[in-house]
Amino acid sequence: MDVVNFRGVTKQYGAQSALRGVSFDVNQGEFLVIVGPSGCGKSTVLRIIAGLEHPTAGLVQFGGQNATALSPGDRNVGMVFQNYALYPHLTVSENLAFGLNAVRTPKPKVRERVKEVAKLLELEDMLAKKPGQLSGGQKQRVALGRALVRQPVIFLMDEPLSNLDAVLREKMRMDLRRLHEQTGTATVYVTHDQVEAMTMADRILVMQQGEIHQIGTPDEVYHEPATLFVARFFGSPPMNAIDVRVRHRDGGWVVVSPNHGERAVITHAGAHGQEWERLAGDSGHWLGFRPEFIHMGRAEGVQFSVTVTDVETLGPRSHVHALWGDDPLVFILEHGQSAPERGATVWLTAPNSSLHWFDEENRRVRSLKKIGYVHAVPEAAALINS
Amino acid sequence: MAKWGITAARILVAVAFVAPVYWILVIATGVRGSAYSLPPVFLPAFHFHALWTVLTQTHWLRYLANSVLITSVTIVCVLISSALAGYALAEVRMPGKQMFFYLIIGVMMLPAQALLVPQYVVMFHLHLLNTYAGLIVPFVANTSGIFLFRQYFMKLPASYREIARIENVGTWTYIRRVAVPLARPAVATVTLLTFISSWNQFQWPLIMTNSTAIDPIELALTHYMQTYQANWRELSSAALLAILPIVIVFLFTQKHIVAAVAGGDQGSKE
Amino acid sequence: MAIAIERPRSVLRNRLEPILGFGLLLPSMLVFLVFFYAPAAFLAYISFFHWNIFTSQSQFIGLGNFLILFAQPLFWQALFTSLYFAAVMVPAATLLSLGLALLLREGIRSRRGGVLRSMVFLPHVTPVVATSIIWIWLFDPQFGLLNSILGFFHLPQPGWLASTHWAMPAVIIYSLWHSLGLYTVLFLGALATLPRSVLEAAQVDGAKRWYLFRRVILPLVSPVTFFVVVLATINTLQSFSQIYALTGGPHGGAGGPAFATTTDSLLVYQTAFLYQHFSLASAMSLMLFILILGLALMQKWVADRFVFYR
Repeated sequence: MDVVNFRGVTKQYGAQSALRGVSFDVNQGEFLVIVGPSGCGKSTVLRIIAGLEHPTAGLVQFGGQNATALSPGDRNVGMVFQNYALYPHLTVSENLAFGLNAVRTPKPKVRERVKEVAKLLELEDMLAKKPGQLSGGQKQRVALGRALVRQPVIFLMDEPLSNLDAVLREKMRMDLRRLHEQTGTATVYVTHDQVEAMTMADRILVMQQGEIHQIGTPDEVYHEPATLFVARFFGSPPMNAIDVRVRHRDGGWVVVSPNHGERAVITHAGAHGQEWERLAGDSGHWLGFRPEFIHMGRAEGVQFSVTVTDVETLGPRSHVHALWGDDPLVFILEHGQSAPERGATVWLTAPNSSLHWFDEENRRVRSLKKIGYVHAVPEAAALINS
Repeated sequence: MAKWGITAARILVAVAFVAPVYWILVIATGVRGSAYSLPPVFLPAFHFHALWTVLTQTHWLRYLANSVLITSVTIVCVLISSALAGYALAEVRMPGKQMFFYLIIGVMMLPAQALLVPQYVVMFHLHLLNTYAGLIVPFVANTSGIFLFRQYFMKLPASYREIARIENVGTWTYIRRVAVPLARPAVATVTLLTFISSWNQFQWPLIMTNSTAIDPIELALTHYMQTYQANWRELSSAALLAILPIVIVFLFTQKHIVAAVAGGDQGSKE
Repeated sequence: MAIAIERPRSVLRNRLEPILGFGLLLPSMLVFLVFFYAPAAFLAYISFFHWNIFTSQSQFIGLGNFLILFAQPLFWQALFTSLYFAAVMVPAATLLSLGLALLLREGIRSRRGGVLRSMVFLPHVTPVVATSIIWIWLFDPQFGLLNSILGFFHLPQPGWLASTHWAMPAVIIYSLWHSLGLYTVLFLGALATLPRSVLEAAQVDGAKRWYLFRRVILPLVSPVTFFVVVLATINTLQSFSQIYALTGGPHGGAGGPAFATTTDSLLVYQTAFLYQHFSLASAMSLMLFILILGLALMQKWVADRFVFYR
């Protein structure tokens, strides 16, 4: 049985739709990350799970049971807010025990739970302190502890790391993940940060404008993005996306830009002739390829002749910005590769295996058998992170 | 030179305002007949004979106790009623809230002087004349108190209430253990304002009581104005007892009181 | 894993929320309704009846109560006294408190400035009867400090509270002493928004002072001035305690001498609670009610449109 099911859930605030027909499940013991830009409806999903908001239409099930009648207090969820919501006039241990005391839990049991959680989260030294005396990371742990003492069936976290500095955030990501493995409690984690999503999630749910674009593992959303939005949301710098037509020219296949008429030659297309055939036609497509998979020079794949406009040196690698006609492109040079001069004209190759095609509605062209697919590139996550 | 003059003027004016209060002390503790001496005496002599007479030979302790009782019960009740109503206005989703809003503001605009006659009739029919309850109950709800609490409650992050709902904390527990402790400035302001207005009550008890047993100190003073006719030492000693608590509280909280009185209806502005 | 939902006891909580809200508002609302709104409604009713509150016998007499009132010279005298009180008190309070605020404004944020402000404010929080006692002594024609000072400068020494001519001015002086602090603080709040640089620039050049006052300070304080004028009018028309205390002491019945300080409020009190003419007192109250409520609505209207303090 799933922990939570959403079936066609819609939420309206007056004339505005926060959610439009959202359906998904939270599985037992999984770490589900809901990610998307601000205002995409991800927090609304979390608040509906908690019972703080009610859907305008659609069905929400909690443990297989219709949740409409369940108040937040009846759902036994543990929530961590972005601002931690610690009561400033109570000590850490009072904060931890507050919810338990409010529902008349026997005193010895409260003490025992608080002690357990304090030990787990290394809060023992600060139990007598007030939240005002704690650092951001410590407050974060107390907020976690408060959710933990109640032994909830699901953890809900609303951007819990966004108030922390970069170093601490990285540490907390790992701590949270480890905690999840210890407790095995299903967790729904809302963030706008693709790195958090990639590194922490068992599954990622990508949202935009109240709709779900994709639900999948980190590998899936990275390598097989369901929409152009998902494709460009993950990865830094984001995936190159160019509006193109596929044409048969001079006995071979080319990619032509309808905007500026430049063409890119496809070499060794023969093996995939059928696939190119399907893409050819008057309807436009978005051709996507990640900066990290482009090579300089001419090789098997789609070849562009571009003019370099900028080179950003980051140390271990460089980001090179270039123009193909009017279309901007970015590619990555690893450490040691010599960067071209600004203004130089260079050849680039996007290997067939790195190409993503999206139709005019920005959806992935699924009818296409993958021309080439780089399965489980181990460095992929590392690449996005840095 | 001009600057020096301005400073002198400022101090002189300020002293002039405080002087009458100071004179009560001078006369109350002066030697017999000092009130009539010419030129006047400017320093207190600290003879507490008159004060002792007032305290021992009259019911003065009783009046003091009445005032303390009435004031403290009123303060506690106003705090409770204001916190509850302020919470409802700030946090609870309910129909007709606008109407309650106007009812609460509207009370402030009713002219007190014009209502005394019908209020007396109501008090008569509720059998509240000549009772402590009659001096307390009509003043246990207070517009500025309600709006002060509302204002502070609205400043609390929504997540405080939400985490309480998730943890199954009841509304009453939340108000008592979280909202009110976090609205401590409102508690202080409402306490001070109620203390001042309740301690200084005069016309209401004058009209609604005719038994000296429950009279607060301010009202009792008027009885003594007849009894101690022109016995300035005794009269001033009695007045001193009525003024002292207010002045002492004011000394410690003057900044807060000035801000509270001047901005007393701050919260009523949307 | 089964999800532990022990008691779905709050199925109705959402529907109960408004009821909870009403419950929280109930204590305050009950007090307001019983002791303020009901009497206000009742007032209009009893004004048109001949009414005995103890037997609850009543007889509709229309405008009868009002006609009796209008026929009484004392009613007109009290009305005149009230208007005289307000006509002197309101401009005096407004101008003096503005002057005080301008005098005290500088360095108000400093510790000493704050203390000076508190000293001026102190009388406002003191109990009226208790402080009236000392003022009765100050006003004493023979031994009072006021006349000693006047005598020192060879100025005429009036009889103050013992004189029909000087009793009202004495009441006004006390009222100013007791209320100026409040109005001054209100003005200080408005002046606090004045940019420091403007004042410093003006101080260099003495000729600019009047210009500064007219073009900068007056426009700045004009909303609060209006507020103070209305507030002072309302407070003055509702004055009771200080008149009762100042004139009801050693010099005889309150409102004296010879009704010289009998304002509307005092006349209502005497009519109702000394002479038990509740119907007449109600009719008078109703007129007072309409007058003051009108002023209060005006004040609220202004308060909603301008932000003065803090």
